[in-house]
Amino acid sequence: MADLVTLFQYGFMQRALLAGLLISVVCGLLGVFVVLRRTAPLGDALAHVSFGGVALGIAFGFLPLYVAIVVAVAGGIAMRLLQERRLYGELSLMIVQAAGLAGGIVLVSLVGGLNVDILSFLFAPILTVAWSDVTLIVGLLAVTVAVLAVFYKEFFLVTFDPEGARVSGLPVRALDLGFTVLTAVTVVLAMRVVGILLVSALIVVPAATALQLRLGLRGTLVAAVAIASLCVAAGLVLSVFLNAASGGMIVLVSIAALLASMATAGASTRAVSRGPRSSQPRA
Amino acid sequence: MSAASVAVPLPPNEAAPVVRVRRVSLEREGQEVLRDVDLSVERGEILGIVGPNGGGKTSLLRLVLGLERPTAGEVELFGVPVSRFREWRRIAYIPQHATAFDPHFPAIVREVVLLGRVARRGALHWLGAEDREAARRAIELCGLSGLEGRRVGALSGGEKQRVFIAKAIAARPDLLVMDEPTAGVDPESERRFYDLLSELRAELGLTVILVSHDLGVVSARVDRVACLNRTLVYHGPAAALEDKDLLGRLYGAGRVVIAHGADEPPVHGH
Ligand SMILES: Nc1ncnc2c1ncn2[C@@H]1O[C@H](COP(=O)(O)OP(=O)(O)O)[C@@H](O)[C@H]1O
Ligand SMILES: [Mg+2]
Repeated sequence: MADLVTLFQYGFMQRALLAGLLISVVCGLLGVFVVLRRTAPLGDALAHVSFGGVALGIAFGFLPLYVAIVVAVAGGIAMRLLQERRLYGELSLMIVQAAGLAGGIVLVSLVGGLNVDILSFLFAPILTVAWSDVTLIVGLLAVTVAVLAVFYKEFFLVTFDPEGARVSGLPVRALDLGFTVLTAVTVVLAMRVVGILLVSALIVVPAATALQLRLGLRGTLVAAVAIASLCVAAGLVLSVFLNAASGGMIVLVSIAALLASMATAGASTRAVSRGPRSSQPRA
Repeated sequence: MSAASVAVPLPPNEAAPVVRVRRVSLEREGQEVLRDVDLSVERGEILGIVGPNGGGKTSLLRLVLGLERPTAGEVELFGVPVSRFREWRRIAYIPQHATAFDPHFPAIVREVVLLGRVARRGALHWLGAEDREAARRAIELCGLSGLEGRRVGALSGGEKQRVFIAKAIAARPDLLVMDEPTAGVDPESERRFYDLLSELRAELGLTVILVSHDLGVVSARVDRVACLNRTLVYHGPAAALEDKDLLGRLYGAGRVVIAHGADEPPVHGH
Protein backbone atom coordinates (compact mmCIF):
# COMPACT_ATOMS: atom_id res chain seq x y z
CA MET A 1 0.00 0.00 0.00
CA ALA A 2 2.81 2.34 0.93
CA ASP A 3 4.42 1.40 -2.37
CA LEU A 4 1.30 2.39 -4.23
CA VAL A 5 1.26 5.81 -2.59
CA THR A 6 4.92 6.37 -3.40
CA LEU A 7 4.30 5.30 -6.95
CA PHE A 8 1.73 8.01 -7.52
CA GLN A 9 4.11 10.67 -6.25
CA TYR A 10 5.97 10.34 -9.52
CA GLY A 11 4.86 12.85 -12.15
CA PHE A 12 5.07 10.32 -14.98
CA MET A 13 2.74 7.99 -13.10
CA GLN A 14 0.24 10.77 -12.37
CA ARG A 15 0.20 11.82 -16.01
CA ALA A 16 -0.12 8.24 -17.21
CA LEU A 17 -2.99 7.50 -14.86
CA LEU A 18 -4.78 10.75 -15.67
CA ALA A 19 -4.43 10.23 -19.42
CA GLY A 20 -5.44 6.60 -19.09
CA LEU A 21 -8.58 7.37 -17.07
CA LEU A 22 -9.64 10.16 -19.43
CA ILE A 23 -9.24 7.90 -22.42
CA SER A 24 -11.16 5.08 -20.68
CA VAL A 25 -14.19 7.35 -20.61
CA VAL A 26 -14.22 7.72 -24.40
CA CYS A 27 -13.34 4.08 -25.01
CA GLY A 28 -16.11 2.88 -22.72
CA LEU A 29 -18.78 5.11 -24.25
CA LEU A 30 -17.83 4.61 -27.87
CA GLY A 31 -16.96 0.92 -27.37
CA VAL A 32 -20.55 0.02 -26.51
CA PHE A 33 -21.74 1.48 -29.81
CA VAL A 34 -18.85 -0.13 -31.69
CA VAL A 35 -19.82 -3.56 -30.35
CA LEU A 36 -23.55 -3.08 -30.96
CA ARG A 37 -23.03 -1.74 -34.48
CA ARG A 38 -20.51 -4.52 -35.12
CA THR A 39 -17.89 -2.07 -36.33
CA ALA A 40 -14.97 -3.48 -34.32
CA PRO A 41 -13.11 -4.27 -37.58
CA LEU A 42 -13.40 -0.57 -38.45
CA GLY A 43 -11.56 0.36 -35.25
CA ASP A 44 -8.83 -2.13 -35.96
CA ALA A 45 -8.43 -0.93 -39.54
CA LEU A 46 -8.28 2.69 -38.41
CA ALA A 47 -5.57 1.82 -35.92
CA HIS A 48 -3.45 0.43 -38.73
CA VAL A 49 -4.15 3.47 -40.88
CA SER A 50 -3.03 5.76 -38.10
CA PHE A 51 0.36 4.03 -38.17
CA GLY A 52 0.81 5.75 -41.52
CA GLY A 53 -0.02 9.05 -39.80
CA VAL A 54 2.48 8.46 -37.01
CA ALA A 55 5.17 7.61 -39.55
CA LEU A 56 4.32 10.72 -41.55
CA GLY A 57 4.53 12.90 -38.45
CA ILE A 58 7.86 11.46 -37.38
CA ALA A 59 9.32 11.62 -40.90
CA PHE A 60 8.46 15.27 -41.34
CA GLY A 61 8.96 16.37 -37.77
CA PHE A 62 5.34 17.25 -36.97
CA LEU A 63 3.62 16.11 -33.81
CA PRO A 64 2.86 12.46 -34.70
CA LEU A 65 -0.33 12.32 -32.63
CA TYR A 66 -1.90 15.24 -34.50
CA VAL A 67 -0.93 13.86 -37.90
CA ALA A 68 -2.26 10.45 -36.86
CA ILE A 69 -5.65 11.96 -36.05
CA VAL A 70 -5.89 13.69 -39.43
CA VAL A 71 -4.83 10.53 -41.28
CA ALA A 72 -7.19 8.29 -39.29
CA VAL A 73 -10.17 10.59 -39.88
CA ALA A 74 -9.34 10.80 -43.60
CA GLY A 75 -8.96 7.01 -43.69
CA GLY A 76 -12.32 6.51 -42.01
CA ILE A 77 -14.05 8.77 -44.51
CA ALA A 78 -12.32 6.96 -47.37
CA MET A 79 -13.59 3.61 -46.03
CA ARG A 80 -17.16 4.91 -45.92
CA LEU A 81 -16.94 6.27 -49.44
CA LEU A 82 -15.57 2.96 -50.74
CA GLN A 83 -18.37 1.10 -48.96
CA GLU A 84 -20.92 3.32 -50.67
CA ARG A 85 -19.33 2.41 -54.00
CA ARG A 86 -20.64 -1.09 -53.21
CA LEU A 87 -17.22 -2.47 -52.51
CA TYR A 88 -17.70 -5.37 -50.10
CA GLY A 89 -17.58 -4.02 -46.53
CA GLU A 90 -14.45 -5.81 -45.33
CA LEU A 91 -12.67 -5.19 -48.60
CA SER A 92 -12.95 -1.41 -48.31
CA LEU A 93 -11.59 -1.57 -44.75
CA MET A 94 -8.72 -3.76 -45.88
CA ILE A 95 -7.76 -1.52 -48.79
CA VAL A 96 -7.60 1.68 -46.76
CA GLN A 97 -5.85 -0.11 -43.91
CA ALA A 98 -3.28 -1.50 -46.32
CA ALA A 99 -2.74 1.95 -47.84
CA GLY A 100 -2.03 3.40 -44.38
CA LEU A 101 0.26 0.58 -43.34
CA ALA A 102 2.13 0.44 -46.63
CA GLY A 103 2.60 4.20 -46.66
CA GLY A 104 3.88 4.03 -43.09
CA ILE A 105 6.31 1.22 -43.84
CA VAL A 106 7.70 3.02 -46.88
CA LEU A 107 8.12 6.25 -44.91
CA VAL A 108 9.84 4.41 -42.07
CA SER A 109 12.28 2.81 -44.50
CA LEU A 110 12.98 6.17 -46.12
CA VAL A 111 13.83 7.87 -42.83
CA GLY A 112 16.15 5.03 -41.86
CA GLY A 113 14.30 2.15 -40.23
CA LEU A 114 12.30 1.69 -37.07
CA ASN A 115 13.44 4.19 -34.50
CA VAL A 116 12.52 4.46 -30.86
CA ASP A 117 9.72 6.95 -31.55
CA ILE A 118 7.87 4.62 -33.88
CA LEU A 119 8.38 1.62 -31.62
CA SER A 120 6.88 3.60 -28.77
CA PHE A 121 3.69 4.11 -30.76
CA LEU A 122 3.50 0.45 -31.66
CA PHE A 123 3.80 -0.68 -28.06
CA ALA A 124 3.53 0.90 -24.64
CA PRO A 125 3.88 4.64 -24.67
CA ILE A 126 1.64 5.69 -21.80
CA LEU A 127 4.35 6.07 -19.19
CA THR A 128 5.98 8.58 -21.52
CA VAL A 129 2.88 10.80 -21.72
CA ALA A 130 3.81 14.48 -21.49
CA TRP A 131 1.63 17.31 -20.23
CA SER A 132 1.19 18.52 -23.81
CA ASP A 133 -0.30 15.12 -24.64
CA VAL A 134 -2.65 15.38 -21.69
CA THR A 135 -3.88 18.74 -22.99
CA LEU A 136 -4.62 17.28 -26.41
CA ILE A 137 -6.34 14.31 -24.82
CA VAL A 138 -8.52 16.53 -22.65
CA GLY A 139 -9.55 18.60 -25.67
CA LEU A 140 -10.45 15.63 -27.84
CA LEU A 141 -12.15 13.92 -24.93
CA ALA A 142 -14.38 16.93 -24.39
CA VAL A 143 -15.33 17.07 -28.07
CA THR A 144 -16.00 13.33 -28.34
CA VAL A 145 -18.06 13.11 -25.17
CA ALA A 146 -20.02 16.22 -26.14
CA VAL A 147 -20.84 14.81 -29.59
CA LEU A 148 -21.89 11.47 -28.08
CA ALA A 149 -24.05 13.23 -25.50
CA VAL A 150 -25.73 15.57 -27.96
CA PHE A 151 -26.45 12.82 -30.52
CA TYR A 152 -27.04 10.06 -27.97
CA LYS A 153 -30.66 9.54 -28.98
CA GLU A 154 -29.85 9.54 -32.68
CA PHE A 155 -26.94 7.08 -32.30
CA PHE A 156 -29.14 4.87 -30.13
CA LEU A 157 -31.93 4.87 -32.72
CA VAL A 158 -29.75 4.15 -35.77
CA THR A 159 -28.02 1.39 -33.83
CA PHE A 160 -31.23 -0.21 -32.62
CA ASP A 161 -33.47 0.26 -35.66
CA PRO A 162 -31.62 1.64 -38.72
CA GLU A 163 -34.52 1.17 -41.14
CA GLY A 164 -37.04 2.82 -38.82
CA ALA A 165 -34.55 5.65 -38.27
CA ARG A 166 -34.28 6.26 -42.00
CA VAL A 167 -38.07 6.32 -42.42
CA SER A 168 -38.52 8.79 -39.58
CA GLY A 169 -36.23 11.18 -41.45
CA LEU A 170 -32.98 10.83 -39.50
CA PRO A 171 -29.84 11.68 -41.53
CA VAL A 172 -28.52 8.13 -41.26
CA ARG A 173 -25.62 8.68 -43.66
CA ALA A 174 -24.35 11.73 -41.78
CA LEU A 175 -24.66 9.87 -38.48
CA ASP A 176 -22.69 6.91 -39.86
CA LEU A 177 -19.98 9.28 -41.06
CA GLY A 178 -19.95 11.10 -37.73
CA PHE A 179 -19.62 7.81 -35.94
CA THR A 180 -16.67 6.86 -38.14
CA VAL A 181 -14.92 10.16 -37.36
CA LEU A 182 -15.50 9.64 -33.62
CA THR A 183 -14.06 6.14 -33.91
CA ALA A 184 -11.00 7.49 -35.70
CA VAL A 185 -10.36 10.07 -32.98
CA THR A 186 -10.91 7.50 -30.23
CA VAL A 187 -8.54 5.05 -31.90
CA VAL A 188 -5.73 7.59 -31.93
CA LEU A 189 -6.39 8.50 -28.30
CA ALA A 190 -6.44 4.85 -27.25
CA MET A 191 -3.23 4.34 -29.20
CA ARG A 192 -1.53 6.61 -26.69
CA VAL A 193 -2.52 4.18 -23.89
CA VAL A 194 -1.99 0.70 -25.28
CA GLY A 195 -0.22 1.16 -28.62
CA ILE A 196 -1.49 0.68 -32.16
CA LEU A 197 -1.67 -3.10 -32.01
CA LEU A 198 -4.00 -3.22 -29.00
CA VAL A 199 -6.21 -0.22 -29.67
CA SER A 200 -9.33 -2.07 -30.71
CA ALA A 201 -9.08 -4.34 -27.67
CA LEU A 202 -9.17 -1.34 -25.32
CA ILE A 203 -12.25 -0.03 -27.12
CA VAL A 204 -14.15 -3.27 -27.44
CA VAL A 205 -13.27 -5.49 -24.47
CA PRO A 206 -14.53 -3.29 -21.58
CA ALA A 207 -17.73 -2.63 -23.57
CA ALA A 208 -18.23 -6.36 -24.11
CA THR A 209 -17.74 -6.87 -20.36
CA ALA A 210 -20.38 -4.24 -19.57
CA LEU A 211 -22.80 -5.92 -22.00
CA GLN A 212 -22.60 -9.08 -19.88
CA LEU A 213 -24.27 -7.22 -17.02
CA ARG A 214 -27.61 -7.14 -18.89
CA LEU A 215 -28.46 -3.53 -18.12
CA GLY A 216 -30.28 -0.97 -20.26
CA LEU A 217 -28.24 1.14 -22.69
CA ARG A 218 -27.66 3.99 -20.26
CA GLY A 219 -26.59 1.54 -17.54
CA THR A 220 -24.33 -0.30 -19.97
CA LEU A 221 -22.57 2.92 -20.98
CA VAL A 222 -21.91 3.86 -17.36
CA ALA A 223 -20.69 0.34 -16.60
CA ALA A 224 -18.40 0.33 -19.64
CA VAL A 225 -16.74 3.57 -18.52
CA ALA A 226 -16.29 2.22 -14.99
CA ILE A 227 -14.88 -1.09 -16.20
CA ALA A 228 -12.51 0.55 -18.69
CA SER A 229 -11.22 2.92 -16.00
CA LEU A 230 -10.66 0.12 -13.49
CA CYS A 231 -8.87 -2.03 -16.06
CA VAL A 232 -6.60 0.82 -17.17
CA ALA A 233 -5.74 1.75 -13.57
CA ALA A 234 -5.15 -1.86 -12.49
CA GLY A 235 -3.16 -2.68 -15.61
CA LEU A 236 -1.00 0.39 -15.17
CA VAL A 237 -0.19 -0.34 -11.53
CA LEU A 238 0.50 -4.01 -12.25
CA SER A 239 2.78 -3.14 -15.13
CA VAL A 240 4.87 -0.85 -12.94
CA PHE A 241 5.12 -3.39 -10.12
CA LEU A 242 6.00 -6.24 -12.46
CA ASN A 243 8.09 -3.98 -14.68
CA ALA A 244 6.08 -5.25 -17.66
CA ALA A 245 4.64 -3.54 -20.74
CA SER A 246 1.72 -1.36 -19.64
CA GLY A 247 -0.37 -1.62 -22.83
CA GLY A 248 -0.25 -5.39 -22.80
CA MET A 249 -0.96 -5.51 -19.09
CA ILE A 250 -4.04 -3.25 -19.42
CA VAL A 251 -5.48 -5.41 -22.18
CA LEU A 252 -4.76 -8.63 -20.26
CA VAL A 253 -6.58 -7.23 -17.21
CA SER A 254 -9.51 -6.22 -19.47
CA ILE A 255 -9.73 -9.68 -20.96
CA ALA A 256 -9.60 -11.26 -17.49
CA ALA A 257 -12.51 -9.03 -16.47
CA LEU A 258 -14.45 -10.05 -19.59
CA LEU A 259 -13.89 -13.76 -18.91
CA ALA A 260 -14.96 -13.34 -15.30
CA SER A 261 -18.15 -11.51 -16.30
CA MET A 262 -18.92 -14.11 -18.95
CA ALA A 263 -18.52 -16.92 -16.43
CA THR A 264 -20.85 -15.13 -13.99
CA ALA A 265 -23.41 -14.29 -16.67
CA GLY A 266 -23.25 -17.87 -17.99
CA ALA A 267 -23.94 -19.28 -14.53
CA SER A 268 -26.93 -16.98 -13.97
CA THR A 269 -28.34 -17.72 -17.46
CA ARG A 270 -28.24 -21.45 -16.76
CA ALA A 271 -30.02 -20.86 -13.46
CA VAL A 272 -32.71 -18.79 -15.18
CA SER A 273 -33.24 -21.20 -18.05
CA ARG A 274 -34.20 -23.92 -15.56
CA GLY A 275 -36.84 -21.57 -14.21
CA PRO A 276 -40.44 -21.16 -15.35
CA ARG A 277 -39.61 -18.89 -18.33
CA SER A 278 -38.22 -21.80 -20.31
CA SER A 279 -41.52 -23.73 -20.14
CA GLN A 280 -43.20 -24.32 -23.50
CA PRO A 281 -45.61 -21.61 -24.66
CA ARG A 282 -49.21 -22.68 -24.73
CA ALA A 283 -50.35 -24.11 -28.04
CA MET B 1 -50.88 15.53 -22.93
CA SER B 2 -54.57 14.67 -22.95
CA ALA B 3 -56.21 12.30 -25.40
CA ALA B 4 -58.09 15.22 -26.95
CA SER B 5 -54.87 16.86 -28.19
CA VAL B 6 -54.05 13.70 -30.16
CA ALA B 7 -56.63 14.34 -32.88
CA VAL B 8 -54.56 16.75 -34.98
CA PRO B 9 -56.64 19.33 -36.90
CA LEU B 10 -56.61 18.68 -40.64
CA PRO B 11 -54.48 21.03 -42.73
CA PRO B 12 -55.95 21.71 -46.22
CA ASN B 13 -54.37 18.88 -48.18
CA GLU B 14 -55.47 16.40 -45.55
CA ALA B 15 -58.55 15.59 -47.58
CA ALA B 16 -56.31 13.51 -49.85
CA PRO B 17 -55.91 9.82 -49.09
CA VAL B 18 -53.14 9.07 -46.60
CA VAL B 19 -51.42 6.98 -49.27
CA ARG B 20 -52.07 6.90 -52.99
CA VAL B 21 -50.16 4.57 -55.27
CA ARG B 22 -50.67 5.18 -58.99
CA ARG B 23 -49.65 2.76 -61.73
CA VAL B 24 -46.52 1.84 -59.87
CA SER B 25 -44.07 -0.66 -61.29
CA LEU B 26 -40.78 -1.79 -59.84
CA GLU B 27 -37.93 -3.61 -61.49
CA ARG B 28 -34.84 -4.74 -59.67
CA GLU B 29 -31.85 -5.90 -61.68
CA GLY B 30 -34.09 -6.61 -64.66
CA GLN B 31 -36.57 -8.60 -62.54
CA GLU B 32 -40.14 -7.37 -62.43
CA VAL B 33 -41.22 -7.12 -58.80
CA LEU B 34 -44.41 -5.03 -59.14
CA ARG B 35 -46.42 -4.10 -62.18
CA ASP B 36 -49.04 -1.38 -62.50
CA VAL B 37 -50.16 -1.30 -58.90
CA ASP B 38 -52.94 1.14 -57.96
CA LEU B 39 -53.80 1.50 -54.31
CA SER B 40 -55.22 3.99 -51.87
CA VAL B 41 -55.40 4.13 -48.10
CA GLU B 42 -58.03 6.37 -46.58
CA ARG B 43 -57.69 8.20 -43.30
CA GLY B 44 -58.49 6.03 -40.27
CA GLU B 45 -58.53 2.88 -42.33
CA ILE B 46 -56.81 -0.40 -41.53
CA LEU B 47 -55.52 -1.91 -44.77
CA GLY B 48 -54.22 -5.46 -44.89
CA ILE B 49 -51.80 -6.38 -47.68
CA VAL B 50 -51.76 -10.10 -48.33
CA GLY B 51 -50.18 -12.32 -50.91
CA PRO B 52 -47.68 -15.13 -51.39
CA ASN B 53 -44.03 -14.92 -50.39
CA GLY B 54 -42.06 -12.91 -52.90
CA GLY B 55 -45.29 -11.31 -54.13
CA GLY B 56 -43.80 -7.85 -53.57
CA LYS B 57 -45.50 -6.86 -50.29
CA THR B 58 -42.34 -5.62 -48.58
CA SER B 59 -41.20 -3.95 -51.80
CA LEU B 60 -44.49 -2.04 -52.04
CA LEU B 61 -44.10 -0.80 -48.45
CA ARG B 62 -40.54 0.34 -49.21
CA LEU B 63 -41.83 2.35 -52.17
CA VAL B 64 -44.54 3.91 -50.03
CA LEU B 65 -41.95 4.80 -47.37
CA GLY B 66 -39.58 6.34 -49.88
CA LEU B 67 -36.86 3.79 -49.13
CA GLU B 68 -36.85 2.85 -52.81
CA ARG B 69 -38.01 4.57 -55.98
CA PRO B 70 -40.48 2.99 -58.41
CA THR B 71 -39.39 2.30 -61.98
CA ALA B 72 -42.66 3.83 -63.13
CA GLY B 73 -45.70 5.45 -61.56
CA GLU B 74 -45.98 7.61 -58.49
CA VAL B 75 -46.61 7.44 -54.76
CA GLU B 76 -48.26 10.22 -52.77
CA LEU B 77 -48.33 10.61 -49.00
CA PHE B 78 -50.98 12.96 -47.60
CA GLY B 79 -51.39 14.35 -51.11
CA VAL B 80 -47.66 15.08 -51.54
CA PRO B 81 -45.41 13.16 -53.98
CA VAL B 82 -43.13 10.96 -51.91
CA SER B 83 -39.98 12.62 -53.24
CA ARG B 84 -41.18 15.96 -51.93
CA PHE B 85 -42.70 14.66 -48.72
CA ARG B 86 -40.88 16.00 -45.66
CA GLU B 87 -43.08 15.25 -42.66
CA TRP B 88 -41.64 11.81 -42.09
CA ARG B 89 -42.29 12.00 -38.39
CA ARG B 90 -45.97 11.50 -39.21
CA ILE B 91 -45.12 7.97 -40.31
CA ALA B 92 -43.94 5.08 -38.18
CA TYR B 93 -42.58 1.89 -39.71
CA ILE B 94 -42.08 -1.48 -38.07
CA PRO B 95 -39.98 -3.53 -40.52
CA GLN B 96 -40.33 -7.24 -41.13
CA HIS B 97 -38.40 -9.23 -38.49
CA ALA B 98 -38.14 -6.12 -36.29
CA THR B 99 -38.72 -8.25 -33.21
CA ALA B 100 -35.98 -10.66 -34.25
CA PHE B 101 -33.26 -8.12 -33.39
CA ASP B 102 -30.17 -9.07 -31.40
CA PRO B 103 -31.63 -10.57 -28.18
CA HIS B 104 -28.61 -9.33 -26.22
CA PHE B 105 -29.14 -5.70 -27.21
CA PRO B 106 -28.87 -3.75 -23.95
CA ALA B 107 -32.10 -1.78 -24.02
CA ILE B 108 -34.97 -1.77 -21.59
CA VAL B 109 -38.60 -1.23 -22.56
CA ARG B 110 -38.71 2.40 -21.39
CA GLU B 111 -35.59 3.31 -23.41
CA VAL B 112 -36.86 1.69 -26.60
CA VAL B 113 -40.31 3.29 -26.44
CA LEU B 114 -38.67 6.66 -25.82
CA LEU B 115 -36.74 6.18 -29.08
CA GLY B 116 -40.05 6.69 -30.85
CA ARG B 117 -39.80 10.34 -29.83
CA VAL B 118 -36.36 10.98 -31.37
CA ALA B 119 -37.48 12.15 -34.82
CA ARG B 120 -40.27 14.25 -33.35
CA ARG B 121 -37.93 16.09 -31.00
CA GLY B 122 -35.31 16.82 -33.65
CA ALA B 123 -31.54 17.15 -33.50
CA LEU B 124 -29.83 19.13 -30.72
CA HIS B 125 -32.83 18.79 -28.41
CA TRP B 126 -32.85 16.53 -25.40
CA LEU B 127 -35.84 14.33 -24.80
CA GLY B 128 -37.83 15.91 -21.99
CA ALA B 129 -40.78 15.47 -19.69
CA GLU B 130 -43.28 15.68 -22.55
CA ASP B 131 -41.49 12.84 -24.34
CA ARG B 132 -41.34 10.70 -21.23
CA GLU B 133 -45.04 11.27 -20.71
CA ALA B 134 -45.84 10.28 -24.31
CA ALA B 135 -43.73 7.15 -23.87
CA ARG B 136 -45.42 6.32 -20.57
CA ARG B 137 -48.82 6.64 -22.18
CA ALA B 138 -47.81 4.49 -25.17
CA ILE B 139 -46.56 1.84 -22.75
CA GLU B 140 -49.86 1.96 -20.93
CA LEU B 141 -51.94 1.79 -24.12
CA CYS B 142 -49.99 -1.23 -25.30
CA GLY B 143 -50.50 -3.06 -22.02
CA LEU B 144 -46.82 -3.01 -21.07
CA SER B 145 -47.17 -1.33 -17.67
CA GLY B 146 -44.95 -3.11 -15.19
CA LEU B 147 -42.46 -4.18 -17.84
CA GLU B 148 -40.80 -0.74 -18.25
CA GLY B 149 -37.53 -1.81 -16.69
CA ARG B 150 -37.26 -5.18 -18.43
CA ARG B 151 -34.73 -5.83 -21.18
CA VAL B 152 -36.50 -6.04 -24.51
CA GLY B 153 -34.48 -9.05 -25.61
CA ALA B 154 -35.76 -11.05 -22.64
CA LEU B 155 -39.46 -10.53 -23.44
CA SER B 156 -41.76 -12.98 -25.23
CA GLY B 157 -42.49 -12.53 -28.94
CA GLY B 158 -45.90 -10.98 -28.29
CA GLU B 159 -44.49 -8.58 -25.68
CA LYS B 160 -41.63 -7.54 -27.96
CA GLN B 161 -44.12 -6.83 -30.71
CA ARG B 162 -46.09 -4.58 -28.36
CA VAL B 163 -42.88 -2.76 -27.43
CA PHE B 164 -42.30 -1.94 -31.09
CA ILE B 165 -45.89 -0.74 -31.44
CA ALA B 166 -45.51 1.40 -28.32
CA LYS B 167 -42.30 2.87 -29.77
CA ALA B 168 -44.15 3.61 -33.00
CA ILE B 169 -47.18 5.27 -31.41
CA ALA B 170 -45.09 7.23 -28.90
CA ALA B 171 -44.24 9.37 -31.92
CA ARG B 172 -47.98 10.05 -32.32
CA PRO B 173 -47.85 9.16 -36.02
CA ASP B 174 -50.80 9.50 -38.38
CA LEU B 175 -49.79 6.42 -40.33
CA LEU B 176 -48.43 3.18 -38.91
CA VAL B 177 -46.86 0.74 -41.38
CA MET B 178 -46.13 -2.80 -40.23
CA ASP B 179 -44.54 -5.64 -42.19
CA GLU B 180 -45.69 -9.08 -41.02
CA PRO B 181 -46.21 -7.99 -37.41
CA THR B 182 -47.82 -11.25 -36.35
CA ALA B 183 -45.29 -13.65 -37.89
CA GLY B 184 -44.08 -16.09 -35.23
CA VAL B 185 -46.53 -14.86 -32.60
CA ASP B 186 -48.87 -17.31 -30.84
CA PRO B 187 -52.62 -17.09 -31.60
CA GLU B 188 -53.48 -15.52 -28.25
CA SER B 189 -50.94 -12.71 -28.79
CA GLU B 190 -52.18 -12.31 -32.33
CA ARG B 191 -55.74 -11.79 -31.05
CA ARG B 192 -54.45 -9.21 -28.54
CA PHE B 193 -52.51 -7.51 -31.32
CA TYR B 194 -55.59 -6.92 -33.47
CA ASP B 195 -57.62 -5.81 -30.44
CA LEU B 196 -54.87 -3.30 -29.65
CA LEU B 197 -54.90 -2.07 -33.24
CA SER B 198 -58.64 -1.37 -33.11
CA GLU B 199 -58.20 0.43 -29.78
CA LEU B 200 -55.35 2.56 -31.12
CA ARG B 201 -57.39 3.53 -34.14
CA ALA B 202 -60.30 4.56 -31.94
CA GLU B 203 -58.04 6.37 -29.47
CA LEU B 204 -55.51 8.03 -31.77
CA GLY B 205 -57.28 8.14 -35.15
CA LEU B 206 -54.41 6.08 -36.55
CA THR B 207 -54.30 4.88 -40.16
CA VAL B 208 -52.69 1.45 -40.45
CA ILE B 209 -51.12 -0.57 -43.24
CA LEU B 210 -50.14 -4.07 -42.27
CA VAL B 211 -48.70 -6.92 -44.29
CA SER B 212 -49.62 -10.46 -43.43
CA HIS B 213 -49.64 -13.82 -45.10
CA ASP B 214 -52.40 -15.08 -42.78
CA LEU B 215 -55.44 -14.42 -44.96
CA GLY B 216 -57.95 -15.93 -42.57
CA VAL B 217 -57.18 -13.69 -39.61
CA VAL B 218 -56.56 -10.56 -41.67
CA SER B 219 -59.87 -10.66 -43.49
CA ALA B 220 -61.68 -10.75 -40.16
CA ARG B 221 -59.75 -7.86 -38.61
CA VAL B 222 -59.07 -5.19 -41.25
CA ASP B 223 -61.31 -2.84 -43.25
CA ARG B 224 -59.93 -3.42 -46.69
CA VAL B 225 -57.40 -5.78 -48.18
CA ALA B 226 -55.01 -5.55 -51.07
CA CYS B 227 -54.02 -8.90 -52.57
CA LEU B 228 -50.63 -8.62 -54.16
CA ASN B 229 -48.91 -11.11 -56.37
CA ARG B 230 -46.65 -8.93 -58.49
CA THR B 231 -49.82 -7.28 -59.76
CA LEU B 232 -52.70 -6.16 -57.58
CA VAL B 233 -55.14 -9.04 -57.78
CA TYR B 234 -57.76 -7.49 -55.54
CA HIS B 235 -58.23 -4.24 -53.64
CA GLY B 236 -61.42 -3.81 -51.71
CA PRO B 237 -63.50 -4.73 -48.66
CA ALA B 238 -62.07 -7.52 -46.54
CA ALA B 239 -65.31 -9.51 -46.61
CA ALA B 240 -64.71 -10.46 -50.25
CA LEU B 241 -61.80 -12.64 -49.13
CA GLU B 242 -64.29 -15.35 -48.23
CA ASP B 243 -64.43 -15.89 -52.00
CA LYS B 244 -62.62 -19.15 -52.71
CA ASP B 245 -62.21 -18.28 -56.35
CA LEU B 246 -60.24 -15.17 -55.51
CA LEU B 247 -57.96 -17.12 -53.19
CA GLY B 248 -57.34 -19.54 -56.00
CA ARG B 249 -56.32 -16.77 -58.32
CA LEU B 250 -54.10 -15.18 -55.68
CA TYR B 251 -52.22 -18.26 -54.61
CA GLY B 252 -52.85 -21.45 -56.59
CA ALA B 253 -53.34 -20.15 -60.08
CA GLY B 254 -51.43 -16.93 -59.39
CA ARG B 255 -49.05 -17.58 -62.25
CA VAL B 256 -51.94 -17.76 -64.70
CA VAL B 257 -53.01 -14.27 -63.63
CA ILE B 258 -49.52 -12.98 -64.30
CA ALA B 259 -49.09 -14.83 -67.59
CA HIS B 260 -52.37 -13.52 -68.95
CA GLY B 261 -52.29 -10.33 -66.95
CA ALA B 262 -52.75 -8.18 -70.03
CA ASP B 263 -56.09 -9.63 -71.07
CA GLU B 264 -57.38 -10.43 -67.61
CA PRO B 265 -58.03 -7.20 -65.72
CA PRO B 266 -57.55 -7.35 -61.94
CA VAL B 267 -60.72 -7.40 -59.88
CA HIS B 268 -61.40 -4.09 -58.22
CA GLY B 269 -64.15 -4.47 -55.68
CA HIS B 270 -65.66 -1.26 -54.38
N1 LIG C 1 -33.06 -6.19 -51.65
C1 LIG C 1 -33.49 -6.89 -52.72
N2 LIG C 1 -32.72 -6.95 -53.85
C2 LIG C 1 -33.15 -7.63 -54.92
N3 LIG C 1 -34.30 -8.33 -54.97
C3 LIG C 1 -35.08 -8.31 -53.89
C4 LIG C 1 -34.72 -7.60 -52.70
N4 LIG C 1 -35.70 -7.79 -51.78
C5 LIG C 1 -36.63 -8.56 -52.37
N5 LIG C 1 -36.27 -8.89 -53.62
C6 LIG C 1 -37.06 -9.68 -54.59
O1 LIG C 1 -38.21 -8.94 -54.86
C7 LIG C 1 -39.34 -9.78 -54.96
C8 LIG C 1 -40.42 -9.33 -53.96
O2 LIG C 1 -39.93 -9.50 -52.65
P1 LIG C 1 -40.68 -8.94 -51.38
O3 LIG C 1 -41.15 -7.57 -51.68
O4 LIG C 1 -39.79 -9.12 -50.21
O5 LIG C 1 -41.94 -9.91 -51.27
P2 LIG C 1 -42.84 -10.28 -50.01
O6 LIG C 1 -42.62 -9.27 -48.97
O7 LIG C 1 -44.22 -10.26 -50.57
O8 LIG C 1 -42.44 -11.65 -49.59
C9 LIG C 1 -38.85 -11.18 -54.67
O9 LIG C 1 -38.67 -11.82 -55.92
C10 LIG C 1 -37.54 -10.98 -54.00
O10 LIG C 1 -36.67 -12.04 -54.29
MG1 LIG D 1 -41.92 -9.44 -47.00
